[in-house]
Amino acid sequence: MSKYVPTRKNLLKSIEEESNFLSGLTPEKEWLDTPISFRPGNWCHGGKPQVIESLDAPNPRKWSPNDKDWQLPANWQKIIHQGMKDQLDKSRTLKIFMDTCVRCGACADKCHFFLGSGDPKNMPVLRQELIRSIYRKDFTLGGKLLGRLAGAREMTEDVLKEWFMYFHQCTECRRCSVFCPFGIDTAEFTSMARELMHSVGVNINWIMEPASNCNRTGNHLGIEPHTFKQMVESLVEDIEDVTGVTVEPTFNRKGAEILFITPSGDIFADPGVYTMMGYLLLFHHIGLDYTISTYASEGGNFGSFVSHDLTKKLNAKMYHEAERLGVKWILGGECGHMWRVIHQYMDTMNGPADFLEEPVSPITGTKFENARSTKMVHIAEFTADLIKNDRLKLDPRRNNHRTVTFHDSCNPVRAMGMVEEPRYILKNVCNNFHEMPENTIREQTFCCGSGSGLNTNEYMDIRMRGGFPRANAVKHVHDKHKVNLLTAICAIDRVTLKTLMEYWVPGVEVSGLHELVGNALVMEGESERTEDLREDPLEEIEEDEDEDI
Amino acid sequence: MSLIQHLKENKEKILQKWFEEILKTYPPETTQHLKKNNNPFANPIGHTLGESIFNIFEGILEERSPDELISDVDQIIKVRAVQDIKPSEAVNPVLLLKSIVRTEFEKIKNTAENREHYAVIDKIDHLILLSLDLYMESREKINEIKLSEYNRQYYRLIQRGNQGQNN
Ligand code: SF4
Ligand code: SF4
Repeated sequence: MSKYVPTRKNLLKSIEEESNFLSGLTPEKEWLDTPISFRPGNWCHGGKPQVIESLDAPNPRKWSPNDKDWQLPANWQKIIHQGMKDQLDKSRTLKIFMDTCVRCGACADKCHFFLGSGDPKNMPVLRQELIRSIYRKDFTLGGKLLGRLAGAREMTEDVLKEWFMYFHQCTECRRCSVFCPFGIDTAEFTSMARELMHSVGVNINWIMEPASNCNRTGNHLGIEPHTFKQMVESLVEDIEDVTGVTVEPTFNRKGAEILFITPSGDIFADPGVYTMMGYLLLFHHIGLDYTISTYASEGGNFGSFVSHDLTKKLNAKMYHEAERLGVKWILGGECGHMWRVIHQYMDTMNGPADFLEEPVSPITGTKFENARSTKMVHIAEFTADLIKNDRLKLDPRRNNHRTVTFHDSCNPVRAMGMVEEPRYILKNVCNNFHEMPENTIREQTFCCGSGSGLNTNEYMDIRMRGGFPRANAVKHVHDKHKVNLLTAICAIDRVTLKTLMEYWVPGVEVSGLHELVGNALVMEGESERTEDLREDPLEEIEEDEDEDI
Repeated sequence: MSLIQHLKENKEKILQKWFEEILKTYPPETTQHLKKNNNPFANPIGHTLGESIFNIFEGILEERSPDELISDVDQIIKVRAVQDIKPSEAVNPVLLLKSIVRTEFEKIKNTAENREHYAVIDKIDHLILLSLDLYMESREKINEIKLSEYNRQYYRLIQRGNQGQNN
């Protein structure tokens, strides 16, 4: 607090002289000239030198974004110019995006960071303009000749700082692209900018360190294989306490039919662990022949928040492991960006995975044709198929103490069209379900505000701002229908939405989808259930209603 | 005419003015959006501010105690606490009403009303102080959830660590 609160003298001075409503003055400068200022809560720590070194990435050094001197390489402008040229040559889409925007403004009020901050530089069109102005100067004739008049400007250190601030206030959620008549995708600008910044050593530690850990040990936290295994085993014990059933996951087992990969948050984070317990119960219930790898122990891909090469490297690990273990195909857990990478990039990066087989459900015989090339099936699709074919024994009344709403996570919904499956499952495993307003769900969903590697502590102010539109819609169903549980199929959501709810809508808990599946599954040989997987007491079930069980 | 009656008669105009004054903290590009978009989900800041100031003003007209208006003040402060503004600006919306009411009062000034004037103004001052308290609470909440998120993320590790210590 003390760092943030101005001194009395400064306060009086600013009240008299600066633009605010006490002085009656409004900002006079145009947005392009409004300088940025770093203060606690609005920037993330820079990548630590040892982390950057471990990834062989450029310009390792001790630095902080609020330093005046960022210790950039002497030729940093050249590096950025060349990088931009390479990316434009490689991707025709990017070039089209640069040239096509007609400034119609349809995207302007669609970004959650704009809606939560009121800062015009968070309008997607202006966010794009932060880069486009440089593109004009360096790559278009008009910009070269007319400069500022044609909306072009020089690449300076101040511009780089502005990039750092505003391309870390974009979660690459792609909501804006849904409303653009040309489908221009601001997320592509953001990933371009982040990659260019990375090439001169400007990045954030919260992304770089998990990426480095993943590269070294296979998961974000750098948990070693034996610890990873022990953690899953402790969940097995918890399952036994609640249900009386002993599930038996195997690790690194060669010749298993299916390799199961989920975000490591499901193994060690709260409330992700309850979702993991749900998966384990489900696999036991249907007698699935699967194994878990302690080496490819992470579904998330933090590489995708910073560069193409790192994305590719981390993604390849999963496939190498599948090949080594000789499984037929991969089943993937409830993750966000893992699915973006699988669906949109995997095939051209590391695919096709011809050493695996086309996924077929061993229980129902359903062929997952959309996964023909990547050989990786989404757990929601897998479970929905089981329910559809009546292969699960479910008692949805065991979730009667929950009134549920569903948050569509940006990546599954906008990058792979995962809309109906989770809802179908929810309606089968619980009795009280209410949708949030139409313009905040499905393709139009609002981001949690902490995606794309921004879910770090020091960034809390910006995250609470960015998450406000989501929270505002949750508050609506909380007030109207007494919703007390927000369910999502993304590991980052499971951690960050909980934080968001604590600030904006106290009284709403957060869960994964398969936690509710786990609660509802009627297991063979189970003891009478009095608690859910969180060991919270169940509501009394009236026995005379007990007709279908 | 009594001040309350005058304020009641001019309620809409006053609310409009109050809303516009608050929006002046935002850059002009943003103000348009905050003013014009009526969908509560497409315009969460405008909607939250608009609804809260309406309830607060009504509460004042109906002579409710400031404590009854706490949840509406809280809505405003929660939003302002995470914007790029100083604490003084964060609590300013309530203060703005004071100057608007004073201007209205001057239109009908006489001694009997004078006392009423101060009663109203005092209530507003009370709300200003409440706002500050709530603002501080929100900042503290941020710190608290930082810690609890950390704990959740490392939940199993911490549990194991604790077990290790106990053995
Ligand atoms: S991709 Fe999402 S975060 Fe980025 S500008 Fe668009 S709406 Fe905003
Ligand atoms: S909606 Fe598309 S064309 Fe219109 S301003 Fe936004 S990016 Fe440009």
